[in-house]
Amino acid sequence: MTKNLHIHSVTEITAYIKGTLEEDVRLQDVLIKGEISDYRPPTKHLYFSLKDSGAILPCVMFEDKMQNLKFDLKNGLEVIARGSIGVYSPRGRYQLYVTELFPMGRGLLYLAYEKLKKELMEKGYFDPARKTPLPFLPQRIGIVTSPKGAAIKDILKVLDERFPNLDITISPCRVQGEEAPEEIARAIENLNQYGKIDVIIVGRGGGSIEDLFAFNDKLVADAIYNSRIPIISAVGHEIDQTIADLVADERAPTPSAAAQQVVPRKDELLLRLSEKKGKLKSLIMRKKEIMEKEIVKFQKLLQARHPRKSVLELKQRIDEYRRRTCDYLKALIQHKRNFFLRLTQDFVQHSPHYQLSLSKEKMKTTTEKLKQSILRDIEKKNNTLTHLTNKLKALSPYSVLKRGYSICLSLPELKIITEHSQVKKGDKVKIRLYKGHLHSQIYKIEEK
Amino acid sequence: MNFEEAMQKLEKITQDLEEGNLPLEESLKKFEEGMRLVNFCEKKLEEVEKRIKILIKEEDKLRLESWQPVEEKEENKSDNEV
Repeated sequence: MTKNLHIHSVTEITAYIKGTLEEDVRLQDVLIKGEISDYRPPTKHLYFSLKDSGAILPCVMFEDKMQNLKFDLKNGLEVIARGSIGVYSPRGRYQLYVTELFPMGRGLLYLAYEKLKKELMEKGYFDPARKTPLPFLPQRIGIVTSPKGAAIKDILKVLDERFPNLDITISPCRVQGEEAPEEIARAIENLNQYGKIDVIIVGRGGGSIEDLFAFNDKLVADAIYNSRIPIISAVGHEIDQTIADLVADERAPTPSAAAQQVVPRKDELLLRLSEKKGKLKSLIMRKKEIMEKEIVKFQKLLQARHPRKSVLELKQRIDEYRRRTCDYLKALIQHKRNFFLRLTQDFVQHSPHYQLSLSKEKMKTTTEKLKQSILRDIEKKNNTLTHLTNKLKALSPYSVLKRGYSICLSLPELKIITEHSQVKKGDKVKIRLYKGHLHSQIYKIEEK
Repeated sequence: MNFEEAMQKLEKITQDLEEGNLPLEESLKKFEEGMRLVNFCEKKLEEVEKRIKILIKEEDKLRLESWQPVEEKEENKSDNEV
């Protein structure tokens, strides 16, 4: 019988309840407002309840989520809690697992901010691709802020420091209060309508999230989004980013910072320009120097290859050769001459003439010697001869003649006639006397 | 051409000249252009006159008024306008 009865264990049914609640999307990531009760300072996790006039909801906030808690909890405080409904089985109770907790007023603003942010993100308001880069040198600056606030003074001061001659147009608006969002939006639109603006600074000085709510307004977001002129947001604030920051082309943490970001330092630009000018001049001077060096180099090269140069060189070389040849020839001649001289000497010494002259000399002396000897001999002989002649003369018939004898010679035979028979009567004869001759004719012959 | 473009051109010209491989004619041309750009930029910086005015819209018409900062110390203390 009991077979047909469907009986659950407590665990089973609790698991079912837990499943049912935790699978319900409407119970996940919900915002719940209520008054804090049963609060006790946390030991580890935070346990409290949210209640209102009709109900009470146990809450638990785990340690890791508590780090984001930015305010002190106390019983009776109106808060907004974000979290999911779950079931704690051991105690058999459903509770809120809190992820975030906000005090009521600020929490609402924050949640509104979150909601708008999500919506605008989906619409592409924050898309980096549609943001316009700020101009490098904006000289016509539009400022959307309160003309009575601290922000305008800060901005003007910084702008004036960085770039003394700027054309600044203030588009006034209130930056807080109910009217602020609409006024900010209109101020942006007015500058766009005016048109002669390079960049717009939209901002105000620091404040709490409540103070800045105007910059988290859809109207402002739209105005920034629709501006043709690039916008830099400058909202001093606590929370990470206002909607205005997210939509703007650029964002700065404070109005002063925005002024710095918007305008370059004029003195730096002038310095850069004068540096560039100097650089250009030095570069062109360097170029000039390089070219001049090139020219000199080519000049040298050209001179080195100039035909006149090679002619001169050739001339010089020829001179050199000539000189060297001359020297060589001179040396050669000298050498030959020496050789020849030696040869000549040798030759002369060995020549027949030399020998001849030597012989001649020899002969001459010999001849002389001979002559002398001959002469001496002759003299001797002469002496002898004279002696002999004298002797002879004494013996000569002619000397007899002197003493009166004569010699009769036949004619023509001139034979000495010694006998009468050799002549006949009438023969002519020649009679030689001591001095002269007598031609005679025989007229008588006597035999006795 | 705006200031930034002129500066970029100037930068490019300086770089080109720094590389030093340009023929003389080209170098001189670049140099002259560079000097023109410098002058242009210097002029550009002085182009605008210092002026602060406030844009007011009345009866749907925009109107500019000259503006002086209000020297009211009380204003800073006020919580109304920051």
